[in-house]
Amino acid sequence: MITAHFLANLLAVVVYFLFWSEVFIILYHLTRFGIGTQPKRYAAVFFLGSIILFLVSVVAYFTLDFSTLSHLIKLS
Amino acid sequence: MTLRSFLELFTNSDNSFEGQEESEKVILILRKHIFIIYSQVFLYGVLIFVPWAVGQGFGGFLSAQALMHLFVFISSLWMLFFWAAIFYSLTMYSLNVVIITDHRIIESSQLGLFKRKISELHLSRVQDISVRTDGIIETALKFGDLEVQTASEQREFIFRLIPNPEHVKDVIMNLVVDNHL
Repeated sequence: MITAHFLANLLAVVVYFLFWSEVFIILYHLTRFGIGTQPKRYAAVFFLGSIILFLVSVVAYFTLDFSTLSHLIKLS
Repeated sequence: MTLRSFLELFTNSDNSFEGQEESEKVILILRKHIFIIYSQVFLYGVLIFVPWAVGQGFGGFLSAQALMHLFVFISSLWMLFFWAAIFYSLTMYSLNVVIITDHRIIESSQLGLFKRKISELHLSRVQDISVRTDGIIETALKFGDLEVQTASEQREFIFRLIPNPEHVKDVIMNLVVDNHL
């Protein structure tokens, strides 16, 4: 049975997949086509920041209470 | 070994590039003036803090409605998006480059993530160079456009918004003279 929680999980997976696809593409371009150390520095900072922000987002996702949210949606 | 490789990111390199000939020496690597990218990144940087401002203004309401966790999650997605947007801009900035060597001038333009244009001009084909600086900001920060007239099929190369265009013009003219000798 497809529940709201399942759909939310699916949506989160899709969003995070798209995010990491873009991260990979940007890192690839910076390291493959970048000249000098400036692009590589950007790649290092971008990668570290992406990991930190991704972990924060995942933790924030797991704090969501879907039963309360479903109840609020039904009330509205 | 890995730490050493990582730390080497923060030291200068010899600016080698793909397609560089064996005897070819890189004289200058040019990108657009840093002001161009800073103004864009500053805008994104301001927008990244919008959730914080909304939280300050509507925190009470969100807590009362049991929406604070949802708000935090949406804020985290907002920050992911703008983080990627900042580095997309920095990538485009970094990859739009003009390489001046002792043999040729190469312009590599990254027009999108999967769209790239590379133009090459041999120094022996350079006929004329002019510098154009427009406006208060360009004059104060010393950046502008460099126009190179050539004897090639592509008659004109224009390198936009590069720092110290007068100095770059002098460097290219000296290289052209050396090439002819």
